[in-house]
Amino acid sequence: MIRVDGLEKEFGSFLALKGLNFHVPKGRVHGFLGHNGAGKTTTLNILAGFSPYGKGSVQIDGMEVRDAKQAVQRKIGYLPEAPQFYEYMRAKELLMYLGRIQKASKLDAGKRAEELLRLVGLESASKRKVGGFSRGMKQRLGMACALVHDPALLLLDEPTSALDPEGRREVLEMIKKLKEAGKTILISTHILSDVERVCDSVTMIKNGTCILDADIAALKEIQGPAGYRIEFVRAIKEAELHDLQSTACISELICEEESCLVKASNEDSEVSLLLAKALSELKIPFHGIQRQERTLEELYIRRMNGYE
Amino acid sequence: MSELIWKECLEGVRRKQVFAIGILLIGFALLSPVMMKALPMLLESQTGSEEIAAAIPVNLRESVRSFAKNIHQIATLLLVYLGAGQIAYERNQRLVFPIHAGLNLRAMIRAKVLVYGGAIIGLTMIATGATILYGMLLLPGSWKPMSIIGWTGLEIGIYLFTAYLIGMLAGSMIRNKVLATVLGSLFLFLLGGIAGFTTFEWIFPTYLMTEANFLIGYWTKPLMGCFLMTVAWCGLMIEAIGWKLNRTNITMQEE
Repeated sequence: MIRVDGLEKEFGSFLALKGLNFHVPKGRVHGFLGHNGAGKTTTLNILAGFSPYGKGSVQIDGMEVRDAKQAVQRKIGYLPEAPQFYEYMRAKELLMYLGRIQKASKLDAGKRAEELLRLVGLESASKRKVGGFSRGMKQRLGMACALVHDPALLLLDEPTSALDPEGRREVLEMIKKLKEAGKTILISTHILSDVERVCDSVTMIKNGTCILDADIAALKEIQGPAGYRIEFVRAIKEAELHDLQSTACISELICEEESCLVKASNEDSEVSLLLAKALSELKIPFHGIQRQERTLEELYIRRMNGYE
Repeated sequence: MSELIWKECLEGVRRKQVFAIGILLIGFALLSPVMMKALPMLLESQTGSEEIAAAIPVNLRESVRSFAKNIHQIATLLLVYLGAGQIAYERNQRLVFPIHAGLNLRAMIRAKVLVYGGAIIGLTMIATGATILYGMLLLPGSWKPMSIIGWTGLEIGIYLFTAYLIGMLAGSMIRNKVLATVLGSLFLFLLGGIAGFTTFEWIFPTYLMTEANFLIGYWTKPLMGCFLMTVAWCGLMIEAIGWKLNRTNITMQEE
């Protein structure tokens, strides 16, 4: 559905995207991760047909965005991070207006508006002016607006960042439902637990280049055995742990002041015992050793900090 | 197109833009005869000289001239701001959903032109009518008012509509609406200055205000030429605004 090859984008002399590559097959929910300024929103704006690009190719459903902008835009529903609305309109009026733009009759546009308001949980606010909506309500209304023309591809820029936990859960459920309905969804977000809950695959970008493009399930296998977090009684210098690294079960050790993350070389159940023994021998006081399952957050931090 | 016209009407009413134009124009219309009537008394009280006060012509014709002058100076600026502000409002991410739903930006501009153009020209004609009729009650002098209302109102109205379009054009090129208003207004006043130095003054829309000051109730050859040229300028500007907006990144927030 989405194929991005060697994408470059310049803002004056600053190269924001440096040969970005990734692809998203049809019917997938794909997470798009990266720190602030990495180029996520720039990429989404290009995909949505709102921002021109230099070198490279951006294809949506086989169509090059720069060559068939309008046809591409009709296939896309885009929810910006802070969506802007005509504040003087009521929620239902706005959705009906968008429906009428795509030549739906007044009756059909009204039905579609009610259906979408129900979907995003705003049916009780259908007669309220959008200007009085909270940020969370605006985010939901934005989702409804992006869905008015029943697009095959949804681009969501931080869709849950403004929502309370309940609202977030509802939006994630909605994304799951939309996936079941066959939509392809690209989510740009900082909330990694959301990505783990709904995404099938993920792309991580750093400074305008792709540093990871993989399936979530495959990622956990690639990462290998789980890690162990050791909580120390005091702050520990990396040099003090030098001898610990020679312990057979440790393949990698990442120090973080009063704790450290140990990456085991195998899934041996004795690893924590071996670590405790080694720490006692080195006379390093510690509170405990906790096994940590592989999370996307861990992988994200490792990738972003250049550990892998 | 009907949904776009509906949206513009709703926006004009709910954002109170049509009322603002109406209050501005009708306000000037009613104030001009009152100021004209009070001017000699004000001058006399300030200077203490009856001669100076008597030297000021106080009649209906001067009152309407004063109305046209005030409109030229103040309403022009506000209508350039209205046009620039409307484009800034739209391009400030509000077009994201409509464009993906299939909005044609040129059609949107045409809808704005129809609704606001109609409101500006209509309200200017009403205001011109109001200033003449109210002036007839307060001041000496009388003409056949209907033709004056018609021609002067139309001349001022079309000129103000051009100012609104220049505001929109500036707004489509410059993201900041205040800067767009300043540059749009400067362009318009510069145009007036240039027109004054040419023998083809009638090809510029500013000539409409020159004609309005003559208070003639019938059409002249240069006036008709100016009407046609202004229509051509407006058509070009409408297309240019649509063309520019189609090439603008509307996902960026206003600076």
